Amino acid sequence: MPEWLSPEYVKQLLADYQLTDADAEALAAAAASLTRTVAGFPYAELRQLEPPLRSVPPSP
Amino acid sequence: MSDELHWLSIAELAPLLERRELSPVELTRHYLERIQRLDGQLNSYQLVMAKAAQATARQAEEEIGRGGYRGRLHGVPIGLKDLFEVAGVACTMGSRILAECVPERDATVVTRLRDAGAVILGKQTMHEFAFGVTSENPHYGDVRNPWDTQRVAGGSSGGTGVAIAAGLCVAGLGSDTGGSIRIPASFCGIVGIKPTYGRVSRAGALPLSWSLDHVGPMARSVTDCALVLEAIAGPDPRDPSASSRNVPSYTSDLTGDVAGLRLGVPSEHFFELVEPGVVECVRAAIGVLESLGARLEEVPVPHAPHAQMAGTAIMASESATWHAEWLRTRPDEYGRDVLLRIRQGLLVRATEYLLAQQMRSLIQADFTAAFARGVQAIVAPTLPLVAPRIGKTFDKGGPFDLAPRGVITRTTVPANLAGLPAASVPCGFSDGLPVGLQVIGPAFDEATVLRVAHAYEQASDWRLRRPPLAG
Repeated sequence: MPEWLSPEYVKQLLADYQLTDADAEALAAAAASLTRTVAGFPYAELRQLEPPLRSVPPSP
Repeated sequence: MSDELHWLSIAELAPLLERRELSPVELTRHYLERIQRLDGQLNSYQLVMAKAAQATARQAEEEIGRGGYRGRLHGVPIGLKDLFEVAGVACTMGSRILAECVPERDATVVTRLRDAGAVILGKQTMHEFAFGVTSENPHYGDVRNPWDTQRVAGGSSGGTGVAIAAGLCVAGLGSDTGGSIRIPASFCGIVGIKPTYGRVSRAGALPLSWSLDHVGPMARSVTDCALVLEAIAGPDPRDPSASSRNVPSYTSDLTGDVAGLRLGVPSEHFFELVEPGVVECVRAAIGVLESLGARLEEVPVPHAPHAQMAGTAIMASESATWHAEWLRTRPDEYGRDVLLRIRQGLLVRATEYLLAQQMRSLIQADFTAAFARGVQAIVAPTLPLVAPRIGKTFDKGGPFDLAPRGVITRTTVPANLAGLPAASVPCGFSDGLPVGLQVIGPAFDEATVLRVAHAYEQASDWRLRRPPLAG
């Protein structure tokens, strides 16, 4: 797990959010899972996108 | 007639109401009595607006009586997922946090239904903040599937799906961010369509995820969905994302004819990790379409396997933005599952969010390529499974040893990311529970999606089955 995703760091980072240790652990695990999956995205194809970003379908 | 009133479709009710052979007041009373009698076991209504509904029904009766018939929704009882704002009525979004939130004006779609003369029966229960697929709700109780009350309704528009399936309203409005119209439609054995992004205004519909939220109709028949869609679709100055495209007639193409139509069948992802009983129903339904003259061909959708995680990154980030203040000040008022999912958005890095948004373009390109080669719609399972048991949706199980919560959206979310119209139509039963066929079309071609769904519906008789609890 990347260091920035440790439960301790998550709790520090989100200090305003009243996290319990269990909350921080669950969030760290969920974030690590997401990071791993996004790392599996096909970067070569994403880099070739033109336009690079379109958040909604093309306008008719 | 009153024993059967609640199973009549809009298309069947409309001529009776127009010719004054049926009173909107009588029809509304019939539905209110059914809700009173049956909904205790189903929990599909968050709030029944009995007085307002009766007043609207009386007004409809008077108008029709003096020749002021407005059209096929006039006097028809309809339900609303409890995230559509109705002036003066609490809009909870299935949450405790918004329990006292009373909007001052109607959502645009509510105004349009009122203009069409519809009678709004009430606000319907849902998964908290629309961020879940089961409608198990810690604040207002679990919504129960009328085919088996130990099973989930699906979500997040679960109350609307259940109420329609059980004959507690004629049709309703849901919202769909990752599948929330099609999931309860499939689990409850009804029809639902998520239109193209921008086809229906979202003004006054409380958001889950701005770039993925869609509003659409749910009903017991494809024709009824088409009729409601015609009423609510179109440009809206209150919603800049609403398209200015004209709204065509969605009912005129519902001929049952799909001869010569080219239908794509995904060659990957959509049939993987799908329960065998579901695959059997969906393959049989596709066979029926072929027997009606549709031409089938395999289409690749190579990026669809990335859709679920891209959807998760986008939904979590956008919802965490909307919820930011409450996450800090009122975390104890959220249900556990929803709190974790929304909080997850606080940890999605900007680069991850943007990569997820970019993934949408690749998924859109998959579909665009399929349509560019001449396929007019794509058919696939709506969901990989039938309705799981309440309280067991985080537990691994089934033929692939997967938790239902983890797989339910894998076949629905691609159409959200691509912004394409997608419908679910009942196509059979597995283990006694409904299965849905998904039909996905090109952007703004709801007419073809509905045409395919309607042709299949008319060639089958699943729509005639009634859940055991429906009285």
